Parts: sequence; structure tokens; C-alpha cells
Amino acid sequence: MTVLYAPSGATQLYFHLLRKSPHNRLVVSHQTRRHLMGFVRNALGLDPPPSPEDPTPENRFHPWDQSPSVDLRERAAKIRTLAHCPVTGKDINYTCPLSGIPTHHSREAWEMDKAYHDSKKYEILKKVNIYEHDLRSGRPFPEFDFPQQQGYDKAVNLTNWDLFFYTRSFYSMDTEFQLAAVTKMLSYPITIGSLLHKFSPYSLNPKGPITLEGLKSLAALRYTLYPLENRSLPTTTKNRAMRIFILGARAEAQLPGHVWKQLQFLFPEQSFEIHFIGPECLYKRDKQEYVKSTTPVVQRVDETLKFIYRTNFFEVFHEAQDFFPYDPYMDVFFTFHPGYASPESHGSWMGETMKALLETKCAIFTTGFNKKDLTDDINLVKSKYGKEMDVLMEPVRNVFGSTKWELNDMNPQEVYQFNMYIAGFRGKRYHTIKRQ
Amino acid sequence: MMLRLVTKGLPKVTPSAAKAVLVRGSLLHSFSTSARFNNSVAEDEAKIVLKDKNRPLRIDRELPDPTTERRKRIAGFLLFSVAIGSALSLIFNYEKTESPIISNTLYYIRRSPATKNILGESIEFDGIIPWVYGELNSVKGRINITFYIKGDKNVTGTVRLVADRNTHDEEFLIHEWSVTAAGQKIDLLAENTKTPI
Repeated sequence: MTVLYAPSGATQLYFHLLRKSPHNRLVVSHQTRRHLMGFVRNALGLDPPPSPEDPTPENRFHPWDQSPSVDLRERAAKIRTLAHCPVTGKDINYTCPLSGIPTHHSREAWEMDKAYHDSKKYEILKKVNIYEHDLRSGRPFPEFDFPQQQGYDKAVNLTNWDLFFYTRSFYSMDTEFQLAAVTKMLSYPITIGSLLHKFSPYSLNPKGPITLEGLKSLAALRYTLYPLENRSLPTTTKNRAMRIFILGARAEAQLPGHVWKQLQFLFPEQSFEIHFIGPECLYKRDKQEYVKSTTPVVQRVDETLKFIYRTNFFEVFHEAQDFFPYDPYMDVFFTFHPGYASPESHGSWMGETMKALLETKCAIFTTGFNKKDLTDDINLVKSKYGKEMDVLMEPVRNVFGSTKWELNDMNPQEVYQFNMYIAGFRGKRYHTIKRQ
Repeated sequence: MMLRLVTKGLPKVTPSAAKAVLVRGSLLHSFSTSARFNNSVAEDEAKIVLKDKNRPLRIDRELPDPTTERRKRIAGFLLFSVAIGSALSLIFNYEKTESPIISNTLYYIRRSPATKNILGESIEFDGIIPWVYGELNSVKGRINITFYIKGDKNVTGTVRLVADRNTHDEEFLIHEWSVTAAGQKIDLLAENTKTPI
């Protein structure tokens, strides 16, 4: 190759090669062009060309029927089995060419669905498609290398996901695929952290969703979380970790310890006990089934974080007085997508569980899949226990909801994101009246 | 919302741990083999029977209330405003008392024979806090000040200076420069002050 760069006789030698071997000429020409272009690109300081493994909406798009992943082919079959065509009511037999997901009975029904095309629902369905394929593509995931604890001089900005990732020194989220993958995992711990943090993005009424009662409950929790800034409070009761009860735990109970550790990194002075409560909170990966345990299963992440799994309903432990006494300064409740108003889970939530929850007088925050899901839940709680509860947080879009779009297999046009909306309430507290 | 449908199947395990959490979180959400769906809890019969009535349900501490001590916080703010206002007034008046116009006036008054006859020696500002009343605006060219002086004869006097100028290039035109003490008015302009030091 160096012969080609000799100043004298280069053209002559090259011409000689052209004559002798046409195939060799093509190879030489190709290598020369690549080498020169690489040199020019490097000299100009340009980025290297994107690798074919980098996720793009083009290389991540496959119709689910012919997906390279077995999981997604099974999901497509499941959609065809369970869902119905919104136009004709018949079974699903047609895969939308724009989104790659089975949505209608036939092409005629697909063309007749005006709402589907006018609202551009297929664009979100396409995002569902490409996100699911990206997770199964086998590409490296460097964005899952989460940062560790950082010093007090580096403040964390909780205005939105981008500022949070930047101020916490996360891996650079350059594409929506990386953002979708990470925010789905982090949506649970950071939703909790963004509520309890002193730089919470949610402001007071009327600017924001936090009511006066919500400010009281959150201020009580922040008194515990920031002890150095509230020295006037008595510290005799600070003899245990702050308890975060997650009721109806399913996916959030399966997150590994280093993901929940991101919540503890936001509050370096505080230790936490996360109580996962529910029949599906303990999942054994080796057995591939939910485990029922009569005793609480404790998993210790480190000296500041501990998981406790209780595989029964909350009212069972409430009646057994396992968590007594509750302290609104150190206990908080979260229910992620509980479905109070859902027909499947209405009975188990709105009976003894809700009554027990309101009795604790601690803050209860709940999230929903979409606005209707959450407002239905909150309206049901208000209608049934309106006189016994205070609203802490009006239903509002969750700043740290997941950006990954999900699909309901029963109704493929119903798309949602995890923890898309959030609200809060509490059992009503009554103040003692001093005797005159 | 049929997202929490009851089914018997469970998702398969995905090899990668990080992906497995994401995938399982998504797939598991579509499946549910919870006993809660077999639990037919009657809504009207919801009651909780505690086993140990002596154990407290919760620690009944008052939540921090931002509306308490509102009157105290308002009073504190008013007091703070008064303190800041007073400090600002003192600072601005200190600028006046240290003005060269005041210094020159005091210089002439201390060397004025008529004033010394009435007030005595050691002429200085009267009162604990020296205070110059009126306008002392050298930039605008308007001076209309009044301040009080005293001497060692325990007599109080009032100094008045009225002067102005139209532009920055002009000299000040003094309209009145007088000391009033013990019923007498001394015009400093008319006084001959060429006594040797």
C-alpha cells in the first residue's frame, strides 16, 4: 500500500495494477477511499460514523408477527387472541403497517378507523414497537451504569429528567431508546425521591398541585430527611429508619437494589426501609412464580437500605399491628397504579385496605397509567371516604414518569406510560381543642 | 381498564438481568395470579379488629403547620422592616453629616467671633445622633439644610444654609447662611472672618 503513496511513479504503478487485475483494482480503490475518508474525518474532528448496532427507529422496527424475538411474537398472538377490532368488533387479523402491531380485523377496517389515523395513534404504537425491540436487541446498555453517591456541593436538580441525569452525572442519554430504558427503571425510586426532596418540582396551590395539608405532611417528612437543617425538632424519636410502604407491589418489588439505591443517594443522611406489601411482591426468578411467605422476607442492601417483603394484604398486617405505631414524620405510603376504581381490584382496595390506610394518618401517594385511570381512582376514594380524607396533591402529570410507552394487550390502541400521573391523599387529622 | 386481567400464564425469563427487569416489569403487568381477585370482600362490612388495644396505632404528633404563628411572623416582618429602614436612614444621614459642605460650615462657625460669644467654645452637633435636616443634593445643585449645634455655654443654635446652582460649572450661590441662637441671628456671609489663626 505504501507504494501507492510514493510521489514518483504512483500513477504509473496504479495504472499497471488496473491493467493486470480488475478485481484487485476494486479492492485497492475501496481501501484507499475508506482510509482517506477516515483520516479526513479524524482530522476535522468529526464523530465516527454511527455503528449499525446503534438503535434507530428504522433498524428497531419489525412487525410483531415476524419479530426476531419470540416474546414479541407471542405477544402479537396474545393480542390477536384477547383484543377486538375497534371498528368491527371482530378478532384482530391485521397488523398495522405503520406501527407494526396488530390493531384491526382487516385492512378495510384499518382504513375505516378515522380516529386512529387522525389522532396519529400509530406513532405511539410504533414507539411501543421500537422500544420493545431495542430492549431485546442485545446491544450494550452502558446507561445502566448508575452513578454513586455525590457530595453535598453538587446539588441535584429535580426539574425534569434531563436536568436530573445531568446533575447526577448519569451516562449521557443521547437517544430516546436510552431514555426509555433508564426512566422505566428509575421512575419508581425517583418518583418517591422527587416528592420527598426539598427541591421538589411540585409547588404549592394555586401554582402547583400541593395543597396546604400536603405541605404539612411533606414538611413533616422533610423534617426527618433533613435533620441538620431542623435542629429545633426533638431528635429522640429518630431511632429507626424511615419506612416507605409500597402497597400492591409488583414490578417495583423486582427492581434490584442498586436501582432503589438511587433513592437513598438523594438523601445521604437518611436510612430507609422499603416495605413491599402485596401477594405479588415476592417473585422468585428461579421458580418463575410468586412466593407466599408467612414471615417477612428481609433483604439488606447495605447499612442504609433494607427491603422487607410481606406477601399478604396490608389490612392483615394492620390488624396484627405489625407496623404500629405509625408516625407521619417517618412513614409514607405509595401505591403505584393501584386501580382503586378498576373492576378487578376494586373490592380488595376499597374495603379494609383503604380504611386501614386512612387510619394511619400518614401521607399516601398514588400513581396512574393515564389521567383517566388516576382521576377515577381519586374520585372513587373521595366519593366513598370523602369526609375521612384530605387531598395532599391534586392529580397532576408526574414529572418523573416513565418515558417508555407501553401497550395494553387487551386493547392495543390503549397506550400508557408507567407512573404517568400522580396524586396524594391522607386520612383526615383532627386537632384537639383545649379546654377553656 | 382491563390492564389487571387474571391469567394463569407467567412470562419467560429473559437472559439479561437489566433487560429482564424491564421486560418482566412490562410483561408481568399483563399477567396476574393474585389471590385478591378471588377475595370477595363485602364493602359494607369493612371493619378492622385490632388484637392489642393498648398498643398505639400511631404517634400523634402535630404536623408542622405553616399557618401557625402568622401574627408573630407578620410582627417579625414589620420589626425587620423598621430596623432596616432605620439603618438606611442612619446611613444616608451619615453621608450628609460627613459632607464637605457641613465640614466647611462647621469650620466657619467655629472661627466666627459672634458665634463663639453666644455658644462658647467646642461647637459641635447637638443631640446624641448628629442629624442634618433637609435637602443636600450637590449633584442637582440644591442645598436647603438645617441642623443644630451647641457649645460649652449650654446654648443651642440652629444653622441654616440655602444655596443652589443651575449647572455643574457654576459656583454655588448662597442665599442664606446663618446661625440662630439665643434669639439672635448671625449672618455668616456678612461677618469678617480674617482673624489670624
